Amino acid sequence: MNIGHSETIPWGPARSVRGGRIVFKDLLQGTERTPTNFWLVLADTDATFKSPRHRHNFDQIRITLEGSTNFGPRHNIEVGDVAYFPEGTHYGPQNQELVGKGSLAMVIQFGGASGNGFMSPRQLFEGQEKMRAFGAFEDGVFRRKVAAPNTQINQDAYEAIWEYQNGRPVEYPKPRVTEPVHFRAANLPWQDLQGQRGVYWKELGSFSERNIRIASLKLDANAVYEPQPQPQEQILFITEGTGRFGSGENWSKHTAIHLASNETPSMTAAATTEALILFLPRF
Amino acid sequence: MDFVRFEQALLHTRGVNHREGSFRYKDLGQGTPGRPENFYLRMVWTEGDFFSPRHMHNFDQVRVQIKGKFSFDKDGTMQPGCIGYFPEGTPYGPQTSAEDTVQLAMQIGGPSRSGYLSEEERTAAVDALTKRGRFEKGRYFAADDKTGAGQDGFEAVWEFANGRRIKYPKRRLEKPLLVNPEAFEWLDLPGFPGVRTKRMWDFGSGALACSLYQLGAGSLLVLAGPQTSLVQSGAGAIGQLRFAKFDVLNLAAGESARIEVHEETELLAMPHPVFPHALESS
Repeated sequence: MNIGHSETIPWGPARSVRGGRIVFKDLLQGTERTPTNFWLVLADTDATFKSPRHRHNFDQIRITLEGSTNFGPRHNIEVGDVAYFPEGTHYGPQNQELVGKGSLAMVIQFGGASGNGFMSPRQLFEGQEKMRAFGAFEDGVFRRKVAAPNTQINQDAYEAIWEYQNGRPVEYPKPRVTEPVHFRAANLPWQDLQGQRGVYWKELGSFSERNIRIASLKLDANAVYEPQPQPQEQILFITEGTGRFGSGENWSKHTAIHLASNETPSMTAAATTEALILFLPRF
Repeated sequence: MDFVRFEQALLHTRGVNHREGSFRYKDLGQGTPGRPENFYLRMVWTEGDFFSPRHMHNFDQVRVQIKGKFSFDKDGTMQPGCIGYFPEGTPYGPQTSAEDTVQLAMQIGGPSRSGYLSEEERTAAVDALTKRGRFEKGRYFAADDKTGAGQDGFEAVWEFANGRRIKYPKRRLEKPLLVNPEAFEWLDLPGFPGVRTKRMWDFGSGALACSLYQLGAGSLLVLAGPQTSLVQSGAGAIGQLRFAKFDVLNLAAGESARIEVHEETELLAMPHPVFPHALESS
């Protein structure tokens, strides 16, 4: 089990490969160069943040913790929503000015069903720094000083860094769905988890041949959750509450936890707890 | 087990509709009226212009585009091959088409357990309402409605059939889910040599799920109910029953079928929602 506590982790510097100001708090990371590598952050997005319409070769989950997060015309992620952005599916342009104020969000970026994996932030920012020697990053676009063979002079910034770091052109998976999947998750009822008193479950949905699965868990104060072994790695993000794992680790609001496959730590809530659970793709 | 031969299913024409435009259809399966998991499956042909206003349902829908394309305005376009999930409580459309289309349409009770109005109940309501008003561009205008505002056609039908105001389930998804099956990878199905599967989605036991199966010649697959499977291509047998393109197998809870494949076959499988209390009381 890997765990990241929001209260002990500082905010990073304001930086972005796209346009506008955004600040990340790096809560949890996976393992570089594995198909289920991931990066879980809190994202403090300024009202000036913009990003052109684009797609990724990895998956994303976003929830809004405070305010409202824009991800396209007429599309805002409100508190209580869960948005899933599958690899290959276009979205945006993002324009936080449409909301009129900033937002606090939790974002998980992770390798999707295609097995392309996810470029770690270390790889991303290292690439960005090195590439400043032969170009500039402006409004989410990398503008090369001189055209290089088989490359575009102006290119989506993330794509340019990915290609620089991997030494090959980026290949986007065909979009499995036409648009991001936007759950109004607060509207789903909690279901009792059979045999576990004071424990409730919301099954949001699972997608793709690799069974990328999203759910929510709720524990009443003093309730004990005994998870069943799962073949997939899991990421838990605590949106509310406090408690303790059987391993002795505590959780509190905005704690992030990574569980290896078949890892089943019991959870005992001290205060009513809610968590988002992501089951990473099964390879 | 309900096995429906597509070629032998009667072709109907619906002229008076609570939406705009007539269409032809073949019934390919129905559930049990009054049950929360009641369903209605049909293949639908539209010709020329088709229009349906932006609306939502109090049941789930899955559509498979066989021919032509349907536009749902800002909610996307269904091209041939596309599979769409239109959840209860999620508005979509307006829906338009300017060409001939063929679409498989599954309508089934959703997670809210509002159930699904059977075709007989719907037809009777449309007939009765037509005597006291008119359907126009997807809306119903009662003769005694002095406001002239009308009402969504489906809502009018549902409320007449049920004798109460319709209550829509809360919106679970912001938009319909439109899936491109070609983008998914075939994976071997453990325990069934020669069978591969593509898993599209699963929203939990209270909603219709969707997967594809590709079965090589000579392979075998066992399916368990409750679920509906459409033969998208290929040929084979289920016991003594020979199956071919667009035949449908509807399996109730507790039923299973052994599918033997003679020619490479592709199946679209839709496991039905399971409502624990509904099963207990059956």
